[in-house]
Amino acid sequence: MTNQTPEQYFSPYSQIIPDFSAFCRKLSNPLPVHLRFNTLKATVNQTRLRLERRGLNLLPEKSVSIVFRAKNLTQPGHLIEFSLGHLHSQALSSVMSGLALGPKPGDVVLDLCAAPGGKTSLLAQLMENRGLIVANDRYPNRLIPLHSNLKRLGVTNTVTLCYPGQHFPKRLRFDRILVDVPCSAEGTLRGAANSNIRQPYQSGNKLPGLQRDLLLRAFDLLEPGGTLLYSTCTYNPDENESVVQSLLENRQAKVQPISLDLPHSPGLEQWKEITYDATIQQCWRIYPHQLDTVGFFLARVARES
Amino acid sequence: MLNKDHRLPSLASLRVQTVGLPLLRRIKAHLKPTSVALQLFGSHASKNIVSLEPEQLGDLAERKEIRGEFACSPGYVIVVTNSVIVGCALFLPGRLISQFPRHMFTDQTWNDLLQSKEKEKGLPR
Repeated sequence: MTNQTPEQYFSPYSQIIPDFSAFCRKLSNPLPVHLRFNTLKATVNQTRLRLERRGLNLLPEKSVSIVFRAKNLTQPGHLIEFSLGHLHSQALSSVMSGLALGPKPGDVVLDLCAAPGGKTSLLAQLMENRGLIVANDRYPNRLIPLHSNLKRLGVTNTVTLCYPGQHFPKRLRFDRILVDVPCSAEGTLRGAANSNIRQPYQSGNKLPGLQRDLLLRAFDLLEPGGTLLYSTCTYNPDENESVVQSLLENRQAKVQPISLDLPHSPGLEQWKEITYDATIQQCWRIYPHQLDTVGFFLARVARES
Repeated sequence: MLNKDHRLPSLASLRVQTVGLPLLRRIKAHLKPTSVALQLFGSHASKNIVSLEPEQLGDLAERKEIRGEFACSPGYVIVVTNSVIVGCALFLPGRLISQFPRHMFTDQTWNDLLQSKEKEKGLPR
């Protein structure tokens, strides 16, 4: 635990997070359990009916037909439907990153930092197990849960690789790339009422540099006309807008609007002494008091033909 | 899945760790279908299917073997419960032996399933 309350910990962001007091209040609530129904193995209705017959209270998430909020469930990993791969426990905002990328069946897709595979399997679901996903992670031990999740969820169109993402070989070009980078994970922080929040992952000052390198390499791996989705689960602009700004200054990249119908805030205009490119406002900031899920940042970027 | 994409030869030059989903494993002289493959493709099978009640399935998963006669030929069979394909088992006369992957289920999985089955029936616990 830190010695800080949410108000203290997030005070540097008090001017950029809309309705900051509501944001801090929301952090006192536990994260909701979201279930993504895996249509590679069963239809949404089949899985929903089985769970509801057994007394689970499922609330559909507006605009995301494959995600349900389970109100009276704390350990989804114990469900037989989880073991059989009919569902995956996944934050709504995490699902949104795959939806915002929008891969199609037949695409050639790279998931640059893929482990433990929740988003990779979502991409396979959206692609109906067709086309090809290259799922990469730099750490061999993280490939174990990646392989396990891909098997459980019935993913057949994926190969796994183990390269440092920032040095991923440039021999292959991709139609879509998901760049879900290591980050300080501030968006996952929740605490009991009036308690201190837990310490986030230690980031030091190295993360923004690594994130920039990963995003630059991902952009270089795109086919002309291809699209990438950069995402983090943190609020820190140094890991979000500043990284996208760096890409825009170094490559012919274009930020695109995200066509999902869910509550969010736009990307920042400025942070500290930096004024960002105006197109960065098309990025999405997801705050828990606007959408009850893990805090997230999404940027959709295109490489022009 | 991916027909004649001009980029595939480039993929061959990368250090690939795994490809796709394992369909079969060689067990001595036999080929055993994997449970994950049966979950995806087993619905096309028309024979050698064993249907179990959830309690029997829990016993099979926990004890690795249950006794009984099932209407199928000796060999690898598809285990189904409540019309859902669970995975692979080996049927020998009078015995059904689990071939489910280790750690496929947790102990709590069966408690939850049996508790919810009682709820479904409206029976007091």
